[in-house]
Amino acid sequence: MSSDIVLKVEDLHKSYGNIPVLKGISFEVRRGETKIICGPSGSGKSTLLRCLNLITKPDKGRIWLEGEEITDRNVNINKVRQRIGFVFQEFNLFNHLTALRNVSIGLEVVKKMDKNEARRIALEMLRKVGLEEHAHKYPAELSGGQKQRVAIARALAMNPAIIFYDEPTSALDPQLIGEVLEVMKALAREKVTSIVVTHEMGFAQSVGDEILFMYDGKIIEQGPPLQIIQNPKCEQTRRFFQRIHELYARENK
Amino acid sequence: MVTVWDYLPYILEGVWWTLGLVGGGLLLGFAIGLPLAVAQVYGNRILKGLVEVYAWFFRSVPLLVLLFLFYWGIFPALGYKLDPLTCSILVLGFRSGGYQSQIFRGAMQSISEGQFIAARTLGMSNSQAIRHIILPQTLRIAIPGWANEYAIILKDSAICFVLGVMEILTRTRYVVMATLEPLLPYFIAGGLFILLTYGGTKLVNIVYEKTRIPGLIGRM
Repeated sequence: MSSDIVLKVEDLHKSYGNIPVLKGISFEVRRGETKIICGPSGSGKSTLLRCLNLITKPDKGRIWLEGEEITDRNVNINKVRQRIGFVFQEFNLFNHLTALRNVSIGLEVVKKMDKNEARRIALEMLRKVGLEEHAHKYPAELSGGQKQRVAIARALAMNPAIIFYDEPTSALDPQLIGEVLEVMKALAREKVTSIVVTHEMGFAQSVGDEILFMYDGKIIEQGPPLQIIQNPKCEQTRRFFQRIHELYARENK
Repeated sequence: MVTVWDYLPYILEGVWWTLGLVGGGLLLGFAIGLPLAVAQVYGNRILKGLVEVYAWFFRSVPLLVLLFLFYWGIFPALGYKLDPLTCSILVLGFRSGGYQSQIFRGAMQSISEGQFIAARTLGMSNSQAIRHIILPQTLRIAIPGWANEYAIILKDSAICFVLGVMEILTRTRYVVMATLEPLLPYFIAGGLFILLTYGGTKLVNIVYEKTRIPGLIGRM
């Protein structure tokens, strides 16, 4: 396998009970790429991300991270997850820890790094997301946008091979979305490999390398963002983006 | 003539015994209750079932019955002849463990599941996530419930007079028998329990305030 393929997914399936959620997903992510996943709610986007780092166990299919098959039974999943950053819609910061400790705890507990070294790196990551001066605040003292930036710093600190963003701006007030997208754009331009589940089409167009459009548990269309958004081939894709355009047009009035 | 007041130091000495019962019972209950709560929330079905049975048993049987059962029944049957104080502390502890497991379980379940998942996505094992993310928050959330448990076990400890533990009530009864004067001694005993309840609850509240997480109100 070519070494610049960070993540490779082959024929991934997942059902909840009798209800199939993923019906055979295959794709690759190359180093430095920003892959955008979009699709209507219920199409399996979040389940896909959770299957990719095995927080949810896929029923069938194989996944390789940097050439290593992580769906292999003998793989230490905790070691694998250290190399996959995850940013949640609901931030999921640790409420009892300061911003700094939220970022450093992975290094301290998982990577067994020296406390001072871990906190030095954590501070550097907070600087990167523009929150150095808030390092000693607790999550409850931060705005939604700030929380999400801490969460991004927390993922970055582990120096992951790839970062998954699961609708990172969907829980934010409109005026706070921009600051988070700016950080994500900067990282994408630094060629941090990522998969982003989002409906922010401006973001997708400016830094996305490819859009994967999911519908009913399958990727039904994929290609360069501009082409997918403006000139989709599938009827479902066309309808989806039309609805998003209408929504934004209404909001911008 | 000997009055009740002459016996006051004798009754006061019982405060240490009462505190021994309460402290021992609470600590043992903590040592039992916290692991049980972890097992109930994060364990498999068998563990969950066992914890439920344990908590159900110790919360359903009256303390008086438990004391007799263990002092005259279970411990002798197992070949142990325990002194009343040790036996009482063990029974209070076993029982409090049942109650405390439910206090900690409730606290644990009020922490958003997302924090646990976030810890796992960082690469933490189950036990690392519980130890570093869940438990620190659990203990803090559980403090008010724990203060309540202190007040309950303090008052329940008086029942240990039936085994002759030299705590406040046992001594008070001896004084009543010696002076044939019930009113004042029992008032004194009641007053001591009020002071101990008040003082202990105050102390726990101070700890609660000291461990306050800035900006966070109510639930985590």
